Amino acid sequence: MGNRRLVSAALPALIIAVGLAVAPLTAQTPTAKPFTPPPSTYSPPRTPWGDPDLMGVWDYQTVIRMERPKELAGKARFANEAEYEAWAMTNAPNRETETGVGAYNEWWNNRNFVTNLNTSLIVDPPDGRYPPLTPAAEQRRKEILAKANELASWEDYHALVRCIASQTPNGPQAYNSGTYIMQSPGWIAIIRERLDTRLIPLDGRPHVGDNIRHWNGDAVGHWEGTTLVVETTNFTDKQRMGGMSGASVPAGIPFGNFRLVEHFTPVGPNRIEYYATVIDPTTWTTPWTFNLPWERDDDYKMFEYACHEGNYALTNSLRGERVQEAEAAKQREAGK
Amino acid sequence: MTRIRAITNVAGCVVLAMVCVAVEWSAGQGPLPQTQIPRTPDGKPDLNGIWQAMNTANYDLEDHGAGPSPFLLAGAIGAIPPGESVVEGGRIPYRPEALVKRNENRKNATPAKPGRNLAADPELNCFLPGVPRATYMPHPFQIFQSQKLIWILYQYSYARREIPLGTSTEAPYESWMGWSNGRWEGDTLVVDVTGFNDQTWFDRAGNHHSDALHVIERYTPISAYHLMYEATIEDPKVFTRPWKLAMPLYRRIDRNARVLEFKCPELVEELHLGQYRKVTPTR
Repeated sequence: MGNRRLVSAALPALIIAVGLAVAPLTAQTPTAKPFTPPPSTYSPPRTPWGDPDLMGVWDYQTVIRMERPKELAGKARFANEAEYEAWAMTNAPNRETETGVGAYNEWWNNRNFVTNLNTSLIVDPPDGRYPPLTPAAEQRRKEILAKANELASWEDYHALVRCIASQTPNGPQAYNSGTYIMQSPGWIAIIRERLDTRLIPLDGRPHVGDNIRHWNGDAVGHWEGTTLVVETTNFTDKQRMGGMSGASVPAGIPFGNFRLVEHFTPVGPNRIEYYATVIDPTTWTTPWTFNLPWERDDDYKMFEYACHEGNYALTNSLRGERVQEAEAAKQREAGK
Repeated sequence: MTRIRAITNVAGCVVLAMVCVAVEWSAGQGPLPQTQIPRTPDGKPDLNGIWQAMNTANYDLEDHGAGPSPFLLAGAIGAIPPGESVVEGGRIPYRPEALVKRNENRKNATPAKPGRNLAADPELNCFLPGVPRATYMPHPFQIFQSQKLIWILYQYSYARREIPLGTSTEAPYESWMGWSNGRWEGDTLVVDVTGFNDQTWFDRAGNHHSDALHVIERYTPISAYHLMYEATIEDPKVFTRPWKLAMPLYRRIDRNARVLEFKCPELVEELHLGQYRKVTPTR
């Protein structure tokens, strides 16, 4: 049952986003104002070829949710670390290990890794909440939710459960969120312990053609001062937003083609301020941006994440559904 | 900047092509003048780039003639292209019982019915390919290099390897891609790989190993556009002696060459799970 609910939270649905072709870059929506991160005076070390050197393992575990909690409405930031810590200790899910369901799992998780004085990850809109969905997207969301408990095929499960992909942009996740940044002249690689590698050319090349669609999209990047700016398009329309930040993302948000602009601003030797701006006029009435601080973690060792190789959970779950249906049919027959 | 460098490289290739002809193909026997190998500022060979093997080793490491498709309906599209052995001496030195297992694997390589068939070629199931197979699958891979370590990021599924160049560490657990320790020997990157499970095959022809597998890889640049790749395979449970395979790797210089997504777990879901799809009753 617990599994069933988790799966439901992963927004089962097939989103056939017909006609949601990514807008050519020359024809952006006028409302898609470019997000500019706050400037940083920190001067990072340089690679031998002169790029800012971000290489190493980073992590972004946090207890801050995507949206600002209602009780913190009007308060964009904690006054200081003490206030943040006090809030984090009382509001992190199941931190109390003596009581409460899920406490055992929570002990292994490490959501309080990166100190963040913002009260929400979303920094734009300034109220720290998602902007309204477009009417069409709201309608799609309702349709998706109506079928949320239907586990007819593997396509009704989240891509992570299917061992295909986590999510781009990636929000906080409960575990294994270590991420290696590796660089070579003209390239940057973002290597997530779980499943995904993003290979980002920095040489000014165009995106791949429209017919090539990736679970993590097609990324191209460039440096603006010491900030890495990455623009990603060519997302598949099969991805769901549920994996982006676990339970903190409202269920049923359609997650199709969109344009993603990310800023990675190093602000100290051990910290990158990461900003992700989602621009999708077919889904959201305005672009929105979340800010997730990344912290260097030299002690983190990334291991093999052989997920699909041992993925009996998906087989067993689907098989279980079919067995239950067969049992129910048998009982209906018997009751006739 | 990049374009200018690319043009220079192409010009360099024309010059190199003439030199290449005179070079023995085996590593160490006749490398190009050292100045023609790209180098990092610290003087090591610069392996950064996108590389790919161009041979039929993934079908069968040993000599193999053309063969029909294992799937009748695939016709000539699925037919097996011929290729000569990449194994030194031609044959893999199996122990007798291990050769029997290889021949069984070969029969089971493609299953007769759908499902998650563990007797089949692991590639058919989109399982991680192991080493050295990841190198010669029909997909490119990208090398990222720093003074401290090397990452090899393969296009196939989520295959990748982190290869530290510092102090060697022991494999902490068993894995599909093994545990890699790298070091430079002159201009050769030597990677010692242990900690394998016994689940991967070397090719589609059922060539196999045990969890005692120990692979020593050697990556030697022989031009700006070619690496010589050698892998020494030790596994006393399966082979009577260590043996070696070798092949060149080619730099992908296609316009805007890049590694794309090949997330094959999605591509085998119908195979593995199709029998559990809900069938809506028709009335």
